Amino acid sequence: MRSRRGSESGRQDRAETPEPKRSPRFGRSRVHDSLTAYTFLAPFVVIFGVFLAYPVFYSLYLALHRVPTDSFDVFGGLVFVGLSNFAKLMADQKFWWSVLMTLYYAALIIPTGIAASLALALLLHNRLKWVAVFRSAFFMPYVLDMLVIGIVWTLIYSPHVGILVRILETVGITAFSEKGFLGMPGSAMPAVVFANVLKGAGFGMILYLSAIQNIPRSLYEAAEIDGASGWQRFRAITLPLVKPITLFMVIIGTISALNAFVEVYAMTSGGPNVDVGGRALGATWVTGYYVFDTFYTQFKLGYAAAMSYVLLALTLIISLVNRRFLRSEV
Amino acid sequence: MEAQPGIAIRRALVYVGLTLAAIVVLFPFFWMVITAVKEPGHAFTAEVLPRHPTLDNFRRVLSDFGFGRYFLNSVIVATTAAFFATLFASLAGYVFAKKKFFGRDKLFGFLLASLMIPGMMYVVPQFAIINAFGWMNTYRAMIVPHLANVFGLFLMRQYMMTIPSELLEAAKIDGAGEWQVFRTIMVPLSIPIIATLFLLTFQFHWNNFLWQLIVTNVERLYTVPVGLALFRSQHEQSYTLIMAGSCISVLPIAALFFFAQRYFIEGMTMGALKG
Amino acid sequence: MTKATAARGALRAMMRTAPKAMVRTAIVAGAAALLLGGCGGGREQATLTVWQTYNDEESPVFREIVASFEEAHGVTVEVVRLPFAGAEPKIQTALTTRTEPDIARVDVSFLAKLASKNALLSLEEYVPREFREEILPVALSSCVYDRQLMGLPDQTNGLCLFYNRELFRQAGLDPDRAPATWDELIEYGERLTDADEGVFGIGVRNSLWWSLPFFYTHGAQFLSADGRHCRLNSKEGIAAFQLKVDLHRKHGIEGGAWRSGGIQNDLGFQNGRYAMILNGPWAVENLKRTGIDFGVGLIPAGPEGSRTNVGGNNLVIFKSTKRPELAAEFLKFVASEEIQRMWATRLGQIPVNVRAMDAITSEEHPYLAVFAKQMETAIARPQTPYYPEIENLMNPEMQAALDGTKTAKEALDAACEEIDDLLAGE
Repeated sequence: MRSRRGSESGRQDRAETPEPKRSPRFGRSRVHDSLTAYTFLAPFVVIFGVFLAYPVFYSLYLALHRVPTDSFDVFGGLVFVGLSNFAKLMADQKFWWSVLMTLYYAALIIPTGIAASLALALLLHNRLKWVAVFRSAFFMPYVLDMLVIGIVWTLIYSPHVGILVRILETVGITAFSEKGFLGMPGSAMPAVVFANVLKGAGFGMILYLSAIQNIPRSLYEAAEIDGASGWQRFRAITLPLVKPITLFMVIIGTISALNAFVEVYAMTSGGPNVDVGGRALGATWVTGYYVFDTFYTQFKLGYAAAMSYVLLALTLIISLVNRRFLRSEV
Repeated sequence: MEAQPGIAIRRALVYVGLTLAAIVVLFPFFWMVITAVKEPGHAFTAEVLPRHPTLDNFRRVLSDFGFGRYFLNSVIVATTAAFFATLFASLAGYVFAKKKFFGRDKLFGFLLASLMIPGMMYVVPQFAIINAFGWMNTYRAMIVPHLANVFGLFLMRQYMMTIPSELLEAAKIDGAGEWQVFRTIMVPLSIPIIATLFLLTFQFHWNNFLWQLIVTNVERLYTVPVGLALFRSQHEQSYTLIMAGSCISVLPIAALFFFAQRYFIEGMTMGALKG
Repeated sequence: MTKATAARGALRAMMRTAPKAMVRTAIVAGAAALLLGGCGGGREQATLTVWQTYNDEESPVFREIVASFEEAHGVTVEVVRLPFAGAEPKIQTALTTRTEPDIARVDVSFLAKLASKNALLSLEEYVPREFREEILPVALSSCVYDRQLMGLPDQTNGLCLFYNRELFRQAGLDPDRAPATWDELIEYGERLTDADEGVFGIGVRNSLWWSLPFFYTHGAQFLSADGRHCRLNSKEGIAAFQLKVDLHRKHGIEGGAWRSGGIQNDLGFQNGRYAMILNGPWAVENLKRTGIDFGVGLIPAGPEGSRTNVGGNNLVIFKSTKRPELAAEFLKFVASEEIQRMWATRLGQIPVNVRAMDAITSEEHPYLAVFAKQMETAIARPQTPYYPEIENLMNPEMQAALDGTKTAKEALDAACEEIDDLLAGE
């Protein structure tokens, strides 16, 4: 396996050719295989069927209904409203703003997350003492709860007395002292992203590290003989060869960015506000948070479900575009 | 070949880089601990070394709040859930990776699509099911709905696809049954991804708050995140208590990670590489 | 050289030595944990269940109250303490499957939401008029929805002005006297503020609830009588809000406590950053513990005098209860003179029962006595199920004005327009 991964052509094959088409014919071993398959699948599929498939369809059903104003009966008493939740959504300025903020969030967090992970991996890819210690250290924050991390960062980011503004003040930066990082529209989203990148970087780092370690030394040596600089070697060898990881990070990053809400809940509650065409809208008002707010504060399950489905559609589109884009490159 | 001093300088630079990165990455961690030993009301101060450090927060968390019971509940729930979620995902992952059966790709696609729906949309229908089963106030209610871990299945399948099929054939020729093949070949060879998934699901359950609150109506069954939330009352957040509680609650998961680290690293990588 | 080849070599060995026993033990252990896990049953059936959200100090006292109720009526009451943060989602989820408790302790605004969705038992026939007369009127009115009594208050509170006596002394102000009017507060604030040191005269929170004393002291109404229109952008309302904005923008005596991510007013007060804040009685005990020298005064008076809004919590009974009489007894028990007297003396809170008000003496409870006095001129919030949504619409606009991107009038007009839409819809 390892040797196969090492060869460049083998890698590209795996990344780009789809699996060979299977013949539709069912042989005896096929039937046997199918039977075994279903047996092995049973526990997973049964639980999925009961606890996830039903809710998936139920939320689609919900999206076409609204909770009656005069009861909590969300099973028998839903009021059919057709596509009006979606129609309302299309006209909901706050929703489109949230989509914009979500894309902004994704555009910030995915590249910085990847860059940070890759940088840490490159630093660790050195035959040095303590590498294992550093590796554990970088990974540590990943195991913490986002809610707890969020609370810690609100303390760190706080204005006037917060540790970060105090540190910056010693080098003469006072721009954040009065409002704090989470209190200014310009810095709030980057601050949320920064906190999240530090938490998640260890995860990506591990992926990149193993990929880099699998690159044969001979490739680098050959490049060195050809007189390639360190940067050129990185561009020409490392980057293309860790591309599967990058693709993975982009896909996972997209899904999690589009669903992000805990970090916002813990740090900013969607604020601080900016004035957009006469309406005050939150600088960190991401769609995931809007769904949460609609669901739990307002208990408008139908509207929240409709939002989820629009979000799902967006996720799918973005994932496809990403895939295409990343595949066609190189 | 570069000259010796060049290498030494480079080496020193890497160390500096690593140290700086470690300081930045671990800072929130450090700050959590520092805040946990501050006096109540001093949570927002910039004191790096608290003027009056105190262990009182830890004492209060451990003695006044029945934290031991919450801790035990969390251990039971997270361990059991992680075990079965990993088992089911590896069984299913094996099949998706190595078997051909009717409807395979469609089923896999459908499973994956469910990943993209925000988790909170599941809460109300899942609650209705739990209730219909009469599972309220049980560990089962906290565990079972999350045993079909689609992301885990995805990782498992990707990893298992890299295990050569010839190995399985060889075992079958030796007369091994399907279950035997799975247990004696797939499982041992997939230990890295199994460890990984165990850790990830453990972490998910360890931190799960709302669901565990919703399905328990007795304080005896509260888990750590629910217990921690009790420190935040309507008008006040006891930051120092929350931080002390978090320090304690992070211990098991940190320990688990340290033990599983080696496997984890291997497991994650294989899972992703084929992505 | 690779894992695969190594494994191939070791295949037979592995098949023999597979950790069969280990796997089996693990499965059995896991299954056992799952099945035995549900040790929730086996208790005697409680006659009443109560979900409460009291804090660490209040919970033990509440349990004592429950114990004496159990003894008096020969029943069992099961009490579950919920974290405040998850209580409303939990109650709403439970209601979807009719698994709610008999009684819950809910915030004033959540009561309206529950009542509007027909989840609550009307107490009209269970609570006699004489008993209602014992209850603090403004607290009782927070339980009335659509002219029906839907709960009984178990805790009431309002806001007062907290001030740091030490900072007052340093600024040459009388440490025994809080500013009596808003004009005086501005005057005090200017003397207390030292922006370079990060010390400000006052810290104000942003949200609507925390702004209502400004509005009420100026005689502004919140909603129209029919509950369909926002009235905060009236002439009085704009003047009130302008004052709040001016504290920060014009007079520079407010330290930005309203910002998200800013230093919240109670923490700023504890750290001596804000010399004055508005806060409720719940903050008193905590502040005493931190050892700051502070005083409490009435809300500074505006054209309409000194007024606070009302917060607090109510006990409600769900319609699905099988023991409505007993549940109502429990509510009356908690709100009774005796229990409220005990509650007030033990915890230093405003009693909801007027007959217990004499438990609050200015000698023993100097701070609380001020709150008790403030409650006399308090104004109850109109009952609307949309209160959280109204906050959501109002807060960003108010913040825009505090930030200076909008005028007070523009912000209130914009918010009221959206609120009117909200109230007109559905």
